[in-house]
Amino acid sequence: MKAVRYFHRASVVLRPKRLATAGDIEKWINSPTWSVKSLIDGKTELSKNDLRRLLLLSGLKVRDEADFDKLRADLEKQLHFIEKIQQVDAGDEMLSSLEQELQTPLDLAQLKKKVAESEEVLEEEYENVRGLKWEPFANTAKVLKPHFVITREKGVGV
Amino acid sequence: CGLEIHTQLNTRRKLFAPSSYSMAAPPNSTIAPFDLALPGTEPILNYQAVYLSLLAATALNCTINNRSTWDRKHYLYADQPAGYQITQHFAPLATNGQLVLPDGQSIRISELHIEQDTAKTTYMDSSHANSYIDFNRSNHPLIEIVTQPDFTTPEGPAAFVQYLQLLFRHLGVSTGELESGAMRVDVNVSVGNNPVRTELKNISTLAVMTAAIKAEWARQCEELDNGREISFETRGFDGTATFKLRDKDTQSDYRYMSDPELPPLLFTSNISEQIRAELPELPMQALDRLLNAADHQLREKDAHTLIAYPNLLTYYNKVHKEVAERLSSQSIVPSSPRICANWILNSLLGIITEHTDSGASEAQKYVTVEQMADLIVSVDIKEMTPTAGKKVLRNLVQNPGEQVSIKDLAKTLDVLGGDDHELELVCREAIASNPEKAEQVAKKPNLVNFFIGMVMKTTKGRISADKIKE
Repeated sequence: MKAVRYFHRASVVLRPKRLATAGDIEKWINSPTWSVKSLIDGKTELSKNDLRRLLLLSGLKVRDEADFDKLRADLEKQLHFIEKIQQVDAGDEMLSSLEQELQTPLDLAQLKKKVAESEEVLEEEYENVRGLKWEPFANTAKVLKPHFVITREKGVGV
Repeated sequence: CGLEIHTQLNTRRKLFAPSSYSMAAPPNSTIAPFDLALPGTEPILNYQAVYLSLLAATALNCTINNRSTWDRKHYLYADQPAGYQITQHFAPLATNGQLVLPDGQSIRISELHIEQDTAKTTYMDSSHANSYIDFNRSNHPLIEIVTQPDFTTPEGPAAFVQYLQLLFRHLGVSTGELESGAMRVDVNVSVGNNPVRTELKNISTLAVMTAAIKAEWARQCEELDNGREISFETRGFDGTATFKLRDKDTQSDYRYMSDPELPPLLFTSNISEQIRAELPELPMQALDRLLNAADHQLREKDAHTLIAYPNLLTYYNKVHKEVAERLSSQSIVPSSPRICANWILNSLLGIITEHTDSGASEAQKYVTVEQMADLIVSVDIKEMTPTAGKKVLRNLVQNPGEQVSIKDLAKTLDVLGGDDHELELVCREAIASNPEKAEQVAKKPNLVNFFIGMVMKTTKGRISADKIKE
């Protein structure tokens, strides 16, 4: 098996040396090397205080204590799964962008060209938005024109 | 203490959307769907913001990072519709800069990065139960500049900000106005070697900045003297003392993550040199030239006035060049290197102030470069008296936009000097009407000035005193 990195994916794919026939491909597809179930065979602890903090930062509420406990249990499994994923050797550099390795570094002349190009793209987008004749307040429950109105809820956000 | 300075860039459009920001526009009238973080919208990078940021970074002598990234800073607030701000946390645009102030003090710059501005929140009552949000400003590009804690006096930060404003105006990067919010400064204050600092926010003017720093320094000294600890918090200033606004969020609460929708910015290693070669004249360079170059030698006050208004400086430079070329083509040396500065700063600006509400930056609106140069040359080679020149200027300011030559306007206003025949006639009339004084001139030579004054009055300043004396 050979590990191959595809530039448009941030994961490593194991590919057999020969996939010559349809039978080879079918056999390969039906021979998984891992499953989600196999990676959530445990849990990573998440304290109640940490979860309360996360809920506050996320602006989320839970219905009751039972809901809170279920959420905690689910998150602990997910954290365990993520830890297993993080153990996969994906090379030294973390790919944070899908286009990273396809870009060319810009010098000043190229940057100025990008300035002109982005202006064209933004102008086109501007015309598209105008063409939509969209109404900014259309999807808003609470409005006091010309302002949007946000009512503070205790314990949520700032 | 150290500073965190947020500066709005002078871009035509916002950072990631085609909308524009204008302070004068009605609320929520200049917004695109992305500014409201509507589902399905995606960022489109405005590279003009990147270019202006690089200009600023280069002028601040920063190292431009070959690779910088976009990251999401998560927090919940009504003015942040996406629930996160797009900024540059892990790899900022530029680092390790330095700005040397006019007094010689050097302030180190930790980093300069680009980020989105937030929407504007107002409250209609003191309970703050409802926030009224205007998204016009949302997603406008900002640069954030973070300095090292190099300031050792309460006045230092204000001097730094003042020079930074001037620098950015000269570069065309930003207006740098504190009052309008185009530049916002947070000051981090700590006393002695105490690692804990407080952050002062909502500083509206340079004077308030200095007063707030003094008040906070005094408060921290008192707390420490009484054995109390300083808390890591954000504080405001009410004009007399600082007060707590909130505890300062720790970095981990922002849950920074790379933005998956935006590729990193990649630059060549020589982009900094390329930009530096194209930088316009910076304020300190201009000041040195205006004060010390043989063909300028301005007074300090005049030089500082010119560099305070980049548009006025540009106007002055063009007029100066035009005048120099015209006089040189006639093999004439200017009567003084300061003639252009004197006419622009003393005469023209004075007339503009007297007759209009315009500021110093708008000189060209009233008198073009060519007209100003024409006038200065005419006066310097004595085709026109200074008095006549001021009359012409006044007429131009009162009738802006008139496409008229200085000579034609001077003829229309009848301010051009008369011929020798006219001059002789007027002189004879003056002598004939004052025979006793005329006889005494031989014994009291200074009496000739009386006759010169009479002739100037009769000719309404069209003929110079020197010519009359001749």
